Amino acid sequence: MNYYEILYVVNPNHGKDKISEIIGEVSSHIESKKHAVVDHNFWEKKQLAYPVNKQKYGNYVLLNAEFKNSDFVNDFKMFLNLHAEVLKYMIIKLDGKPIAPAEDAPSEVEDKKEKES
Amino acid sequence: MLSSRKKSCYFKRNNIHEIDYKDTKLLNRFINDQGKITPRRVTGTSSKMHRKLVTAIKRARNIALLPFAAIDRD
Repeated sequence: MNYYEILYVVNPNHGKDKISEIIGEVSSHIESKKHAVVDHNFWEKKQLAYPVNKQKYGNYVLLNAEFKNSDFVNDFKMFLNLHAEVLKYMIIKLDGKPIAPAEDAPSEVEDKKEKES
Repeated sequence: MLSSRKKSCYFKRNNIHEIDYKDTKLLNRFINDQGKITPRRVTGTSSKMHRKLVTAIKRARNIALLPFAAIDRD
C-alpha cells in the first residue's frame, strides 16, 4: 500500500470537457488494475517555465492515488508516456496518506461532488 | 564593523514545517532572477529547511513550474 502524488500537464488547447475526459481515462486505467484513486482534479492552467513540446501553457492536473504494489508505477509511467495529450508528468511517493487536497477554491467544489457520488 | 544583526530562518519565523513544490509563490522568494537557488548564507534558512527547500525547487523545475535557467523569458 503506497500513496503517490502525480502531477501531469495536459495539452493547453483543450477545453474543460476534453480535460475531464482525459481525467476519466486516467482514472479508469488505474481502477481497471484494481488500484484506488484518492483525489483527481484539474488544478490550473499555467504558463510553463520553459516550453514543452513547443507549448507555452499547460493544463495541470493533480492526482492522488493508492497503488497496491510499486510495480504498477512503471506500468503507469508507460501509460502516461503513450498518452498523446499528456505533455509532462511527475510521480512522487508520499510518506503517508494525503491529508487535504490543494487549497485552491475551484477544485474544492469538484471534491465534494466526488465524495457524494 | 561587523553587523550584529543575525538572519533568521523564514520558515521558523512563519511556523512552516513542510514545503510543497506546488507553492511557487513561496519558492520564488528563494530563487534569483536567473532561476538559481539563493545560498543559505544569504537567506539565513536553517539547514534542515534548506534541504527541504532544495528538493521542492528541483521538483518544481522538473514539472515546469519553475525555470532551470531564466535567461530570455519573453
